[in-house]
Amino acid sequence: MAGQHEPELIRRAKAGDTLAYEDLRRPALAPAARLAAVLIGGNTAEAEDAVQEAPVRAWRRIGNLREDALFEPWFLGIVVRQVRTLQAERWWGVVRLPEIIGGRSHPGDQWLEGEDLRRAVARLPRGEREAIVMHFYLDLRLRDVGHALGLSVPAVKSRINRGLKRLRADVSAFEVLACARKTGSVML
Amino acid sequence: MCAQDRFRDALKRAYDFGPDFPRRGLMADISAALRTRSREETQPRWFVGALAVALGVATIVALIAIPRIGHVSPPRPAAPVPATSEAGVAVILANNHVAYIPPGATKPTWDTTVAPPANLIASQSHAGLGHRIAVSPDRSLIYAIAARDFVGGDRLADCFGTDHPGRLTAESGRQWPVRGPDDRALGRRLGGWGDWEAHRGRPLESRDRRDQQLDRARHEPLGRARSRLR
Repeated sequence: MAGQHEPELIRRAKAGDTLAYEDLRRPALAPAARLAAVLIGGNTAEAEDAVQEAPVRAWRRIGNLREDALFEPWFLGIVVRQVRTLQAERWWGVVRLPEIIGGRSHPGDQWLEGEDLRRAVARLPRGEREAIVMHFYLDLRLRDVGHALGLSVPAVKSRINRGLKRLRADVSAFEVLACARKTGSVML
Repeated sequence: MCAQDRFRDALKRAYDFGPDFPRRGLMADISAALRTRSREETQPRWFVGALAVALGVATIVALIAIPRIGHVSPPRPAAPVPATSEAGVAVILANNHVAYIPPGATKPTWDTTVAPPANLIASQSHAGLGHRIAVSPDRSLIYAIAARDFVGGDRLADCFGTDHPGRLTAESGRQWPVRGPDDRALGRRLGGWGDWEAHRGRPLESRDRRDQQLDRARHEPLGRARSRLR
């Protein structure tokens, strides 16, 4: 991690120091790849493409980064925009289901699990999905999520709450189906 | 564990891509891509900048040069220098000297001195008639001078040096006879350009004297006039 030296690394990177820029982007690469993979829907190959392009864009725009800001949220914001661009270019593409090892949902849980949760997340509006993934999956603070998405903290909270409500609705519907599977009866 | 923590765990379990993601070579690929892009972008930016400057300079030069080019007349074949005047010219010279040079000639066909009073002050072109009008200093005498091309009106060249009067046409359509300077009178202005009175063969001085007598007779008392007539 860049840690305490991040402002200095940012200053050097803005001055054209590629080594400093490499030190900045290296720790942000894994979160960026995971974020892209979730937003793309689990397609890791496309996620890596997006992540491979994002550092180039970030390097071009490094002058826009404030020295007192954090690099990772700013970089993740670029990754989000790169994913949006990819999805806009491939609007005709078929969204493939992720090849992720995951279990089915458990009837007693409040939240969905595995593939059911991924389907529910994929159905979320883009803004809500981005905020929820960055906050709950990457453990970014609300302030950093806002920085990455260009939103205020209240706006981020609003998006997360709306997204969670939608997911709870899906949970309720799924619990009905899960209960039906468990009891062997159809309750539709 | 609160609901949000359970959701967080569920989300991380659902999107567990394993330890091989992202692949280890991704960092090296990114570094290579950055180096390649940097090389590619440095040269085009320099080239684009130079091209933009060149285009700007060309635009400025074009903006300055095009108006000048528009004023440059195409080269014409050298025309022969005319040996004679192409059109006749009637001029008023000093000391009331009037001369006319017809088209194609180098010497005046007639050259005469107009009648006194001396020192004509103007040579006015009478638009539409082709005449040239000379006015005496007191504006009492008007001399009709032949137009240089003799078009647009009566032929006035005969006014000079002959007994045949010409005819001058005013813009209003009225006409009046004029005569050459040998007769010492061509016309007298009474009002506007359309009100001219011809005085053929009679000196203006006598005419003026008679007019003065008539005016005096109109305004003097009736008794004094009767006594004078007696």
